[in-house]
Amino acid sequence: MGQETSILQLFPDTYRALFKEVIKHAEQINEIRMRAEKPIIVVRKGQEFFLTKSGAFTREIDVAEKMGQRALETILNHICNYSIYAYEDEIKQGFLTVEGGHRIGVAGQAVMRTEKEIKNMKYIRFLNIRISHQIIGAADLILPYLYEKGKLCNVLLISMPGVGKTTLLRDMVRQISDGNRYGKGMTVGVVDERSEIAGCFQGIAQNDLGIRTDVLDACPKALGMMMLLRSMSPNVIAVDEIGGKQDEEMIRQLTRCGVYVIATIHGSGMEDLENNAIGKELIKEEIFDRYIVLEKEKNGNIKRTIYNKELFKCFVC
Amino acid sequence: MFRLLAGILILYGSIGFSFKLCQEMRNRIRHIEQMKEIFRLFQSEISYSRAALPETCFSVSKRVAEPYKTAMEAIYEETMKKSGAQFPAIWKEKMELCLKEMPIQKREQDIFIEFGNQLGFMDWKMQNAMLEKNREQLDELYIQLKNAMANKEKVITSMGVLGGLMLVIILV
Repeated sequence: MGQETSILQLFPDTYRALFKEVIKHAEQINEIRMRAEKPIIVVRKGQEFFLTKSGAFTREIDVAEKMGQRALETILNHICNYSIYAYEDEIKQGFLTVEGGHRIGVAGQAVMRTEKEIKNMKYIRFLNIRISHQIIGAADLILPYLYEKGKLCNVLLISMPGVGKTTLLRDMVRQISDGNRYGKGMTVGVVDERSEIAGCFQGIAQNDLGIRTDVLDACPKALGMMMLLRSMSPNVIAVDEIGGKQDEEMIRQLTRCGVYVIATIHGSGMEDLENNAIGKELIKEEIFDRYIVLEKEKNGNIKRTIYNKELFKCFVC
Repeated sequence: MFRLLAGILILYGSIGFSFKLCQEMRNRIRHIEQMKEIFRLFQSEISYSRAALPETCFSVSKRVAEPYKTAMEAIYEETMKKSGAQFPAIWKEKMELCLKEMPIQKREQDIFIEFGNQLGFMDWKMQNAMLEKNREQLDELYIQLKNAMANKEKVITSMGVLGGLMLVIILV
């Protein structure tokens, strides 16, 4: 299914005309933000635009079309196939993944079960449609550095949010799974806690993660890694945004079992990682053979720096 | 001889007509039963598997008789096309088509078609409660009809026989 179709499907027929320009530029759209009684904001190539009544892009707020509360409810209902109850768990965690791998963030008034647990959400008045863009070949440049003497390395990707570590991880998984010029295809297990890597919809990965990849969707990372290790006997386990002590312990256990690990972590660079409690331990124990730091340069380009386990720079591009 | 034959035919026709009326009543009750069963199946699909409505229509279609089976399949197929048509409109269109030739009355038809406008609950329990309300309404109707049927059948059959005899006396 094309990007245009998968975005168009999110809207009921009565609102499709409003999003016609958005659909035309589907490949450039990052986000569509809708807030009740506020102008619709479309993020296109990283820049904010409003939509006019006829669906055209504008920077003039005076002519921007506002999203009515009723319209917002209808769109959410349509996205959920008029079965919001079926998406109760997803709504509770604040987002749902739809066909095409797009993520719909929702916000409203939380109904609490206990002090720490959300029971449900009511008065949903904020929707953020994050358009999924898989970049095939995103890992091409760094691929040679992921292997050493024909063997895959344990890799940790470090970057700030929005720089592209999940996109890079996704393509690394795809190429490792399918096999590439540096290594044979391997069985990869992906723990996709927030459905960002595979973008699973009804259990089917909407992004291409390769032919030897198993996905455990919407499962906490540490638990998911353990489950995959026991059930799917993977050669490699990929996980996004590690952070807890449990994640750290599980990664340690995986490497002891001979499973390769590819993970991502929030951070601005190696220095930041060394100051991070988990990162410090992982560096000290030399769990990872490669560290890939992604940074956004002033001109918008992404700079990739690869370090080996002794923290020497091996590659910059 | 011809008079006797004509008399028999008139009597046969009027009794047949009364039987047809009784049959229609029985059919109406049978359809209400089926509608109740459909709502019950929806309730179990929603409470046990939390299935979304299009998938529920598909699984219900495998367990109900015609013409509901075809209508449920049509609803599923239409929603899967993702043409932008809204589920309440699809439900209304397909169900009106399905119930057009049925021996049912506006009351039960309205309850069944109206279901399409009672969607969008955040909680599956609320959605099920709405289905339960519809089922109760149909159940009430069903009990009323069932109780009235025994007497009505007797009256209609008697009227058929008597009416036939009267026509024979008048015409033959």
